[in-house]
Amino acid sequence: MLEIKNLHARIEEDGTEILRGLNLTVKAGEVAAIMGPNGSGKSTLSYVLSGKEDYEVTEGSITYAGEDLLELDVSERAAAGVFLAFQYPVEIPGVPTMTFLKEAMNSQRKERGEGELSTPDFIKRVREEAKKLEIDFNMLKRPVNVGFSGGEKKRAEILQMSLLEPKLCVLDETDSGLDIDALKVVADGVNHLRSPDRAVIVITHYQRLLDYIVPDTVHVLSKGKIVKSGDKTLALELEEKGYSEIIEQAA
Amino acid sequence: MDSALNRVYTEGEKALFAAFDSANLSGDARDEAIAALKQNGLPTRKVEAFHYTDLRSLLRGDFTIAHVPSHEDARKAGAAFPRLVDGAAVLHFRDGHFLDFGEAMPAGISVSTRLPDAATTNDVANALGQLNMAFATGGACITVDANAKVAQTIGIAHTPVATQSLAASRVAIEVGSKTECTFVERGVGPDGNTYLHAPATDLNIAEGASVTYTMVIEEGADARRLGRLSVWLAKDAKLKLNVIAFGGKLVRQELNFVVQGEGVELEIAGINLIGEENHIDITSRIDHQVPDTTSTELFRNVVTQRGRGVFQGQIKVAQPAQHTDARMACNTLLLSDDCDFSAKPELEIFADDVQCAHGATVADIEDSHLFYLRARGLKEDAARRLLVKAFVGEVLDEMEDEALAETLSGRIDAWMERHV
Amino acid sequence: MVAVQETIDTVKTLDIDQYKYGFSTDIESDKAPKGLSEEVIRFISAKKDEPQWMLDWRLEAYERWKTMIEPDWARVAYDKIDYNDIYYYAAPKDWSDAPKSLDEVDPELLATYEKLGIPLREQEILAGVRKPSDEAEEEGEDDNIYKSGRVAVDAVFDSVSVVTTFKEELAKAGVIFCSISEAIREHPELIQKYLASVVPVSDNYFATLNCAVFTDGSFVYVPEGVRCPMELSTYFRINEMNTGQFERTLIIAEKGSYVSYLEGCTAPQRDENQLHAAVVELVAMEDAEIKYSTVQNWYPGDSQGKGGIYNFVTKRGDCRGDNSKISWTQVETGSAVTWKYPSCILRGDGSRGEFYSIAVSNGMQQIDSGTKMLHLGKNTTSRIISKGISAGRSQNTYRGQVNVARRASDARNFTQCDSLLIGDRCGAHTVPYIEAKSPSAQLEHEATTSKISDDQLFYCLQRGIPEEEAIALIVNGFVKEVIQELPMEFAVEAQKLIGISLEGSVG
Repeated sequence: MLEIKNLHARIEEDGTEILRGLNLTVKAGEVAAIMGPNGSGKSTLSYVLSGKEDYEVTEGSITYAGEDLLELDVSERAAAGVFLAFQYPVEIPGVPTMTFLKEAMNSQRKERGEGELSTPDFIKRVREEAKKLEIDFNMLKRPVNVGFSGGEKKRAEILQMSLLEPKLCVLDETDSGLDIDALKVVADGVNHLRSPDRAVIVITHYQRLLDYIVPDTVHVLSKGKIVKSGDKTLALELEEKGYSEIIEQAA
Repeated sequence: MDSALNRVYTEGEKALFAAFDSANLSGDARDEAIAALKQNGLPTRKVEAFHYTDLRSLLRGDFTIAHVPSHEDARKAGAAFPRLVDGAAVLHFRDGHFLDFGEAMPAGISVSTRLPDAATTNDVANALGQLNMAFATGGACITVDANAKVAQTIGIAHTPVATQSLAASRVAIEVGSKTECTFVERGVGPDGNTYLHAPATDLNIAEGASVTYTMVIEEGADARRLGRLSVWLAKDAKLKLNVIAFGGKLVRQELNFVVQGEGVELEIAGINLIGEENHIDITSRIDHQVPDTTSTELFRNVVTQRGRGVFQGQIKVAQPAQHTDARMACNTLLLSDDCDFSAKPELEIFADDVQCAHGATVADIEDSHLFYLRARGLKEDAARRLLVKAFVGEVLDEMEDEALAETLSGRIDAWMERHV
Repeated sequence: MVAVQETIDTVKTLDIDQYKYGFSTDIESDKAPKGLSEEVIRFISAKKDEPQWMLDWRLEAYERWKTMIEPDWARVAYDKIDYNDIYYYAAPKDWSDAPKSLDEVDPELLATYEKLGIPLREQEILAGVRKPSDEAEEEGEDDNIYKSGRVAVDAVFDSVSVVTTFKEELAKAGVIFCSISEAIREHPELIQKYLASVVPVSDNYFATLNCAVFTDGSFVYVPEGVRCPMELSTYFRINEMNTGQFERTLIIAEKGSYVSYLEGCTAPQRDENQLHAAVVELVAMEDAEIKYSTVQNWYPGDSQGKGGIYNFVTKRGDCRGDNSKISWTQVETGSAVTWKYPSCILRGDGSRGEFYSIAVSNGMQQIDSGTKMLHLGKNTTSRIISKGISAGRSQNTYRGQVNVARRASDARNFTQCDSLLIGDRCGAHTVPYIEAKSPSAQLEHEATTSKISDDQLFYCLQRGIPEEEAIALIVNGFVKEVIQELPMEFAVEAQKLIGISLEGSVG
């Protein structure tokens, strides 16, 4: 589903190179965990995948579902099924969450040549999904992410993910700022979305989240490269030995 | 435009012009400045920049100027005024003249005792600029050598003492690149003396220099002060300015900042204590001309006893000045029902990728806070003072020179004893 | 960043001639001689069949005006106006023989209003499908409040009121709603008592000019204890070339009454500038409430700044009685130059003034607008929410004054002014005057200036929302606080209008 080859990317503004020859393959149905110390390029990877314009790809390629992902702009990628769950979801004052959701769903449907959802159908779908994630429906009448607690923001991200039904989900440190109960709810939400035709990339610093979202593969990111890959036991090994030892071994 | 011939002058204006004629001040720049003042008269509230400080009506009645003291007069007036803090190297100005008391200047600082040229005094189109241009008798040019790290504080003490005098001086400070230095400017005069003090300071901060500047305004109870500070900041320059005003019958202090180098950080914080029918006006203008600069401005004002406070703060962001981050706050406590405060915080923005904000509040001491303290056994006066002190304390807490902050804190306490 | 840059580029090349009300109606008109003189004022007064006292009042104002100087303190620049190059009166031909019923009105005229979306035949209005309000909340598809049926309209065409609808139904409730010309003839005691009681004759240059030459406008009188049964509205249309519109509106809400009033305005697209100098006075007695909403869509001129309306307007409300309330809501998208400060005099104890404003400028438009809240009574409160959006090469200034008099104990004000810049060729300015003379006053003022945040835009794009729609969404969020103050259907129209005004930057 996703094939990243020799990816180099830098911050457009000051030219700092963050990704330095990253290779990664994620198959349909696979849950891949990307782990790495602070500053290893985890968030940059998520932004480059979603097409944030502050980053410039200088070398390498990203092939997504047989297509060159780098040729698409941000909203085209979203419509093609790339979803980024933000580490810090953005607040948009004055825009009701429901309006935002409807706009997003229908824009994507339109881009894909599907018809728009009727209002009752839309509301019904949102109600169902919100219930699963234990989200109070009233919260969705408030402006996007405004006044939401850290946990509420992350749940709202997962809600959007389940409504938009993406093919490739990128979860950027979804566990940060979550207490254990919220973590379980969010993980359940993600697990529900696991399916043979959908890939999930879980970016995290800690092993904790992987107790709840059990990955098929684990990749260690260091200085902009994947330095080691393995199965779920690699995460436990990291937890036990720490990043520096594993990274040294790999080198 | 009315011609000067048709204008009817107030007693105050007449006294001003007579003082100029009798002082034997000469030079084209002075003549032009006084001609401009005669042409327009002192600004009234119809001039937007003087909307809340009508100089024409404020400088009349019991105000008169009898003379402009000579250097000999000033020298005869006696020893230096007590210092605000120990350990500073102080330049003394009395009655608008520089007096050399033999203070040793630290390494890296040189002083030339001449009146700075007109060329370095910006905006003579303004009435305060014209006044200083026409009347300044004494001055000094202070140079801080590039790369100098000057630990000792440089004091600039202005002490107008002659009764019914006009004391004007001009100081130009050239701060070399990558220097660090600290200035304390102070205007202090005796009560019961109707002098007019018109000091002007030009501060030019070169690339990468870092300056801490504190201006303490404690003019006499019957004094008038029309002061200006103009600052130019080059690339990566930093200025931390504190302005603490205790009074003077009429104070108009203009603060002008031209941010002309990228990476400039400008931080301004001030306290205005306004009582006893004082009129204190702080008018600042920050002109962001280039990209990537920041400015913050915070004023805390306490007004009581028929006091009248004015804050005008303009932030201007020119079209090329992208990524400007400019924030201004002006908070005021009105403590009695006979005082007033006017604020005009102004944003003038021509660049789109900026973050600019201003906030202004006016209120009395929060009743619930007062009640809480009194419930804990504080007397009402003590409780009020504690709360007022806390209100202005935020500015003092941020000052780098702790000894100076301590001294000023004591002065604020003394002011509150009399007024709160 | 790149996406935003594209938007900016689009705005730069943008022709703002998206103005859909730019047509003119070919209708024969009857005009006063061009220029301003005592004769012209006599002509207008005679056309209106006015009593002598009204003419005298006008002439006195004219004498006064001749001694005054045009104000220049606002941040707007325009070519000097030649007051003798304007027609001060223009009416459809033979208006002196005014039609008795709609059937006698020139069909061209009715068609004009149809085209503007304002049906003037009551039977047509009533036949219109009225949307249940709950459905409107969800969808808001119908784009015009006038079609919803519960709005009485006074239609002013150039210098005359064409027709006022629902007069009879309103009369049953005791509400007088008619043109000001009719009120001068039919209700002289009310006019003499209230006219210029809020905006004095010599208040300012443009207001004084209006006193001398005003031609028509609306008059509303709501008697004690009456809640006006429907929205009242005036629709202003300038049609003739070189013609100024000088309308005069007076609304009086007696003790305990309530009225909500809307005004809309459009003008044809013409190359020369046209002057619109209106005066609006509101009087709210004890416990009365007046809600005044404006959607201003005068022709803004083309992208090069050619043509467009000079909108120099004096609007002031007097909260004369205790616990009265006046609320101004304005959506300003049109006009080449706007000079307008709807204000409240909070005279009665416990009275309340509100000002909600959205000012959108694009192309070469210049807006200098804001409010004055003058706190005179005890326990008075005011609230100011201003949202300015500048695009193109426009200049957008908020100018506002909050003044608390010494005896106005326990006054409260909250002011929030936010400016949004789209592109780097425009300007956004904030000039507040905050003046407190009472220690029990609590005044809070906040202002911010920013652009649409890259993070917000990226977030929307990442969810698959195309850029133009994403910007529209964010801008609508930005102005939401004000939009929700408008009557429901008006809000929908206003939102669309903002979209059209920012065409090129907003979808």
